[in-house]
Amino acid sequence: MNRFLYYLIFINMIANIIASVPRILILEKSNGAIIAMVLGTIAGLLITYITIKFYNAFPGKNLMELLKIYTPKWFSISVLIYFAANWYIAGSITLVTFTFVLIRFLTPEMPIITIAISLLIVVSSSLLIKTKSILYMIEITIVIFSPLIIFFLMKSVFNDVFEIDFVKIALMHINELPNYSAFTASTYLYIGIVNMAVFNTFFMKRIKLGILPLLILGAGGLFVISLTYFVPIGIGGFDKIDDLIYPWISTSDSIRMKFGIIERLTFFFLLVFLAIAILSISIHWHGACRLLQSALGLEKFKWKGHDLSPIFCAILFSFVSFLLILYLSEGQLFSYTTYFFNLLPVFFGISMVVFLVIKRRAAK
Amino acid sequence: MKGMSSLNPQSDNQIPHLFARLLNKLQVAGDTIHTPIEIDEENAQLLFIKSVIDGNQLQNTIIKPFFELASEKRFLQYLDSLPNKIEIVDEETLLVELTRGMLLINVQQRYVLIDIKKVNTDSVQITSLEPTIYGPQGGLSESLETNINLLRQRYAEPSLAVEITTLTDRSKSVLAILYDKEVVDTEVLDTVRKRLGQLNNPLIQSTADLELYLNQEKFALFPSTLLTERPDRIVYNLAGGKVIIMLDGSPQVTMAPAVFFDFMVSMDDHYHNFWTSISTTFLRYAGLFTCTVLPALYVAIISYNPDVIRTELALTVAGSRIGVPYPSYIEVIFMLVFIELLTEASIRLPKAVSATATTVGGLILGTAVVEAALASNIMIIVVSLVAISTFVIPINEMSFSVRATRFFLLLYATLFGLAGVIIGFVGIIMYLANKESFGKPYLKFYWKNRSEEIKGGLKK
Repeated sequence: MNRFLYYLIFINMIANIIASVPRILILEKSNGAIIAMVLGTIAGLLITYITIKFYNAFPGKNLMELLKIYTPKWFSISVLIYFAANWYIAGSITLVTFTFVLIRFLTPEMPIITIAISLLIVVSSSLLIKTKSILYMIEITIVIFSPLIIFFLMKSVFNDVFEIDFVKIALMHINELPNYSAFTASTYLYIGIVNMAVFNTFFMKRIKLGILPLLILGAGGLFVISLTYFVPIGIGGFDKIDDLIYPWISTSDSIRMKFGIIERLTFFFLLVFLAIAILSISIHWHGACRLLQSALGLEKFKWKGHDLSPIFCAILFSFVSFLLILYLSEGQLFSYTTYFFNLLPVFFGISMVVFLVIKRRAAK
Repeated sequence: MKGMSSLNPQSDNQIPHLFARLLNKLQVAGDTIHTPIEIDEENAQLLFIKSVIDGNQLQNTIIKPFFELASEKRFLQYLDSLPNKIEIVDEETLLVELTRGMLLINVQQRYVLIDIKKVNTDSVQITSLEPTIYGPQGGLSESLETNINLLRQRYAEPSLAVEITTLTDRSKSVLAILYDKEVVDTEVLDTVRKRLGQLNNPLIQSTADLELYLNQEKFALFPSTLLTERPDRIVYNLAGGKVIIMLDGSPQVTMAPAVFFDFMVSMDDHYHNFWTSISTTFLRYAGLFTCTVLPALYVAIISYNPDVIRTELALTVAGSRIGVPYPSYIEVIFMLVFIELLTEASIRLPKAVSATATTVGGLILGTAVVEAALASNIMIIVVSLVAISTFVIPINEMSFSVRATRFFLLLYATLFGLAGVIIGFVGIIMYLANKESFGKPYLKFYWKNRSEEIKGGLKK
C-alpha cells in the first residue's frame, strides 16, 4: 500500500483519542464495550478493504470525477453534498472538542474566541493549499511528532500508577452483548480511509491488498483502541472513570515525568495531540471543501483568474464553527457527537451503494 | 539598415561606411580607437575599444602577422583561419560585441571580427560563504569561461550540456545553463528556459538578482533556488540532475530546483564518517528547530503557562525575571531585534571595525542590559542560543529566511500562548509543504530514490 494511505488512516486512529471515542467506550464499560470494540475493528477493516478495492478499479480518479462520469446529475450532487456535510462535521467535532479542551486545561483565562481564531487561521488556510500538499504536510508532521507520540503512549502504559488489575476487571465484561454506540465509535477509528474519495487522484498505482497490510491495519487499530479504552481504566480505576468528561487528559495528568523538563505528562499530551488534531481537521475540511466545490460547481466562481471557491469555503466553514464553538455546551457536543457516530453505518451504507452504482455503470 | 546587405563596404573613401556609422555611435566612448595599419600599398583598418581588449594579443596575433605577411590577401586568409573569429550578425550586435572586447578589421573590403578581449576577473576566489573543513577551498571566479572550465575539470562527462545565451537587459550579460543531459529533469529544464525567456527586468547584475526574478513569486519568504559558490556542491547537484544557471561576472551560481533539505546540507557531510555526519546533521536540525521555536516558547511559557515546565525551573526563570518591568514578549522582541541589529551590523561593517561591534554589542551591552534589569539572565541565554543556532544553517539564504520565520512564530505565541506555538509551527510546515520550486514540491521526504518517487507513487 502507498505510505500516504497509511498516514491518512493512522492520523484518524490517533486523533480519536481526543474526540469523544474514549468517553463513549468508557460509558458503555459494563454494557459490552469490549466485544463492540472487536466487532468495530472487524467492520472497520471490512470497510477499508471494500473502499480500497473499489478505488483500485479506478486508479488516479477521485470520487467527484467518477460520480460526474457515471451517474446522473441529481444523484451525484446529492451524494456529494451529503458527503461534504459528513466530512465537515467530522472535522468540526475535533475542532470544537479541542477548543474546549484547550480552554479547560491549557489556557483557562483566554477568551474562547481567541482560541478558536488561533486554530481557524491555520486550519482554514489548509483549504487554500493544493491537495497534494496536504499529503506532504501530513508526512512531515508525522515524522516530527511520531517519536513524541510513541514516547507518550509508552509512558502512559509503563508508569507507576497503571494498575493491571483494573484492566482485568474491565476484561471481565467480555461476555456481554455488544453495544451499538461503542461499536460505531470503534468503527470511527477507520474513518481515515474514506478520504480516498479526495486523495485517490494521487494514488496512480494499484494499491496492493494482501494479508500483510490488512494485518498491520488490524493490529494497529486494535492496539490503538485498546490503549484508548484500557489506559484510562488502568490508571483511573474501573468504577469511577466514567465520571470524567475528558478521561484521557485527566489520565495523562496523573502521570509524572520525574526527570523531564516538562514534569506533567498532560502538557505533552495536549501539545502533541494538538498537532495531530490540526492535521485531522485539515484533512477533513480540505476534503469537505473539494466535495462542496465539485457539488456546487464552484470552479466557475472566479475573479481575475483566481479561484475564489476555497476562500468561500474557508469563510463558510470558519463561520459555522464559530457559531458551534460559541453556542454548544460540552454536554451538547458530546451527545451530538454520539448521534454522529451512531449515524456512521448509514454513511458507510450510502458509500457502499455509491460504489456499487459506479461499478455497475462503469462495467457497462 | 540592419542586415547583411548594409554591411557591404564602400572602400573608395578613406573611412568605410560601416566604420563611420559605428564610430558615430561610439563617440561617447572616449577610448574607442580607429586606426589604419599600412605597409607599402597594403593596408587594413582596425576598430576597437582600448580598455576591453588585450594589447598583447592585438600586437601578437594581428599587427605582427600583418607586417610579416605584407599582403592583404594573405592577411585576410590568415584572419579567416583564426579560431577566435566571430560571425558578424548585424550592426546592433556588432556594437555590443565591440563594447565587450572584440576587434573589427576591415581588409580588402571585408570585415572580420576577432575576439581578443581582456578578462581581469578570472582568478579563482577562496570560498567565503560556505567554508568547510575538508574538501576544496577554492570557489568560483567572476568569469564565466573560467567557471565552466572549473566545472568541466571536476565533471568530465561528455553528457554535460552547456547552453550559452545572452540576457536581454542592459547588462547584456552572458548566461550559461549547465546540466547533465542523461539525468536532468526535462520538465525543470523547460521551466528554466521558459522563465529565462520571460525575463524583462531592466538590469540584472548578479546571480542572486537573477534568482529573485526567476522565482516568479512576489511575496516569497524562502528561496526556491539554491545559490552556491562551491564547485563541489555544484558538481554534486549536477550529478543529481539539477540545472545550473551561471551568469558572467558572478562568483556564485544558482541551481534549480531546490528543496528545503538541500539548504540543510553542508558539503562536509559527504567528507565525514557515517556517524559523524549523521550527528552533525542532527545537530543542525536541532539548531534549526531551536532558532525558530525557542523565542516563541519562552514567551508562551513565561506569560501563559509557567506550570508546563518543572517547578524548580519555573522558579529559576521567575527569579531571573525579578525587576524586569514589562511582559515577556516585549523583552523577547527587544532582545531579538537587538541581536538582529548586531548580526546585520557585523555583516555591513568593514572587517576592521566589526570586531568592535561584536564586543560592544555582545559583551558590554549584554551584561549592562541584565544589570539594568531590562532583560532577564535567562533571556540573554535564550537570545544567544537562538543567534548561534541560526549560524548553524549551512546556506546563508535559508538562515535569513529562518530569521524572519521566527518572528511570525513569536507573534503567534504572543497572541495565542503555548497552543499557538504548536499551531503556528504546523502552519509553517503547511506553508512549506505547499511551496514549489520549479514545479517540484519544496518540503517533501524522498524515501525511495527520487526518480522512482516522482514517476511512480504520485501523479505529477
